Amino acid sequence: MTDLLQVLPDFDTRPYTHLLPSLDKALIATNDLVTLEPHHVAKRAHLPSADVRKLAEAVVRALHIHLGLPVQEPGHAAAAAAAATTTTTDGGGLKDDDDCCCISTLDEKLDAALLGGIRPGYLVEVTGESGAGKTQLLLTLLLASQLPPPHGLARSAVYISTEAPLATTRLTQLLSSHPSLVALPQTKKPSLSRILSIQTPDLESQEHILRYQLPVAIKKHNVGLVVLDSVAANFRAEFDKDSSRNGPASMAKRSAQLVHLGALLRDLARTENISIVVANQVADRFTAAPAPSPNPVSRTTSTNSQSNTTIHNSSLAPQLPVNGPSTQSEGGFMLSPNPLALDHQQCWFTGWGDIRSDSLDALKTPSLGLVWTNQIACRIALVKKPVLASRSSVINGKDERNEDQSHISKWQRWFKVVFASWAPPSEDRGVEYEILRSGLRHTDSKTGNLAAVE
Amino acid sequence: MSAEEEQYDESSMGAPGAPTPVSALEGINGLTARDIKLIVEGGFNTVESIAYTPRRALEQIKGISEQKASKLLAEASKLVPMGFTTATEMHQRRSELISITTGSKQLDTLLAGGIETGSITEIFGEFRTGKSQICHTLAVTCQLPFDMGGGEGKCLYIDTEGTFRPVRCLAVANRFGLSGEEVLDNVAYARAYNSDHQLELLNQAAQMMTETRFSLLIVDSATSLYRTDFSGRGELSSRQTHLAKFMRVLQRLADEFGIAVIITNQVVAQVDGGPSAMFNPDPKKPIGGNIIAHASTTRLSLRKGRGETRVCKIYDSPCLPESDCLFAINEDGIGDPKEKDLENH
Repeated sequence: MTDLLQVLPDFDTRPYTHLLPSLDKALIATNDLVTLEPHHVAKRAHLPSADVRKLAEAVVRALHIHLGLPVQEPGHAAAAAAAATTTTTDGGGLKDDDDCCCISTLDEKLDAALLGGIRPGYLVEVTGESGAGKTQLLLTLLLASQLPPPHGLARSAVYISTEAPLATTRLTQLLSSHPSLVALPQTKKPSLSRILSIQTPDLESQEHILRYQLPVAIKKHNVGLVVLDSVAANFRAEFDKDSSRNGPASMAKRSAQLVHLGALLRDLARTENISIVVANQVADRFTAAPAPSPNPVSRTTSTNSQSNTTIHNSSLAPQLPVNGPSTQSEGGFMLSPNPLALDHQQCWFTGWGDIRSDSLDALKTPSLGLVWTNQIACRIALVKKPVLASRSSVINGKDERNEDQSHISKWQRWFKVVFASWAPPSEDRGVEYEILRSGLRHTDSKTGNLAAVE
Repeated sequence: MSAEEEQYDESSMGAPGAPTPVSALEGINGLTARDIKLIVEGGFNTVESIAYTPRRALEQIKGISEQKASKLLAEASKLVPMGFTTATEMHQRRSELISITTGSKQLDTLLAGGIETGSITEIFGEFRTGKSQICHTLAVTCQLPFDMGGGEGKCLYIDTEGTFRPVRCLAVANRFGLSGEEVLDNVAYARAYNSDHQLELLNQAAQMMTETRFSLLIVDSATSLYRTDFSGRGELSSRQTHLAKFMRVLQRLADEFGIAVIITNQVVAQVDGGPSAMFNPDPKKPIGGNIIAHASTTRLSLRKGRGETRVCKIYDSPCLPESDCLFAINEDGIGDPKEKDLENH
């Protein structure tokens, strides 16, 4: 029962204190308590069956309340009190369905891709390469959440940084130059003083802040948006994947912590009806060098903890070489020899790999693996691709250039909703955008990519 | 309770007032006098000390269960002002942060004043694009007084390639009218021989920084040892984890001591072949992959220009636009290019 604290932190254990130590000793987890017959549990823990049944019922009821389900049999005094809280949370749930106010990205096309913006009550991830514009998007959201509906929630925002501290210079710049913020009267303008920020240098303090300080801050300052930039930094540095030093065990531990973190953030988002947006880093996806198969998906090697599926996949692959070329049907989607393998499936939920023409080495995978992917309700991938230009236009010197003839002149960027529980995934690459002094702005795909030079 | 909360509301933004004794928690949410006694015996006398202690440490106290520790923390957090600061306050503080001049006006303009303290700046480029030269110049300019664009602090130079040349620092010192001997005295130099050593040096660096004022930490280059210590795809993930740890420590040093951190990075040509060789998207790439890319705050890309000029481009930055400028490598360090070099730009 030691895990009861994590499953139901608010559960009132006082009436049951005499039961818990025995249950602990019999190694009965909360899971066992609610799934096994009470008299079996009672037998194992040497406890009166009636008491165990009562506890199990209370736990189930609390779980229902926790999930926002209506309580069926409010008999208990505690349950009645709890039921009162249910109705209030239910009311909150209904309210956000009715007037679905969102946090806008302050660009109409990007908003359209999200059907309005970031919805409160969900855990949302923004992922992308370094320099793709993750932080830029998050900064815009910090300001937008303070706007009155329909653009925001008229509530303040919290920024928890694990990498670089909050770029306040950029925030002021956005405030003074973003087209939809400049026009606002001084009283309605978002202000920096309604953005709270804190830095977490390591995982332990991150956990501490998220679990104990954040809920208090949310209540105290009427917070509508929590940004964690980024979720991966601490996890990536503090867990070893190295197999020589019990890597698998460490990865398993990381998975458990990620699940806890996900549950914590989702609960916060739901109970307080706020948006929680986390930034995530990416890792490269590896491709086997010259493979004969034309299928880019089956060649990728998983970089996350589900490596067992990879092995499974590669062991299957040689047996079915014949259907390699013939499976390129069905509107461009290629069938992998093993369509259920993670390597094949991940192109639909990572945000990279579902467009065949992309070169293979540009494929990325959001870090923290499938475990983390299962924690989030929406993933937005910011994809960037270089545009090459000839060097000569910049420097036409003498014999200096035995170097590369082409260099990167600018980047093309796309905003892509990979999945969201309230919006359809983006078609194709998503919305193309650029980062200007005044913030994120979609570009007209018709006018071409090179026309947008300032 | 509500009146008390309001009172704390007011104080939460200002300086923390007098410490609150632990006994304030007694009776709240089922915390008994016995619990309080145990906590005090465990060495925690104020609510503040509890609020900032990790749960794991509280659980070590005899008689405090996991659940009690969690409750204590939750209640203590409600009573004390938290670590959150408003962006206004941060902006205020950040505007007081200094930037260290690079010696070139053009470069300083590009970087909005120079190398930012409190964050990591990465410089990457091919050989002889001026990475180490920028480092040498900064090792001197960081010692300048504030009104000359310096940081009034010492420099810590971690060298992994053996490219540090005191002579170059002396030349720069002459230019700024500093005594060469003093300048060299103020540069703490360490040579790192492998990646573990490189990480270990940072721990010593933290020790040194508590003793005297440092304003700059240079790692030249941050990734070269990783290139030799780890080889092949098999060791890639352990290399990247090690690198991630290294970058975390750098970030922590930057936060704690308010120093500027400069790392240099090599580039690789992509010669993988494969289907993408024809339209190679990114002919020269900084190494260290996504870990380095995500961890550094500002990334600068250098490439050669005509003569002694070099082109610096902002590759990634949270607040600087993507643009570039020319600078020159002179006898006396980094400077502005001559007129004739500028004409063709």
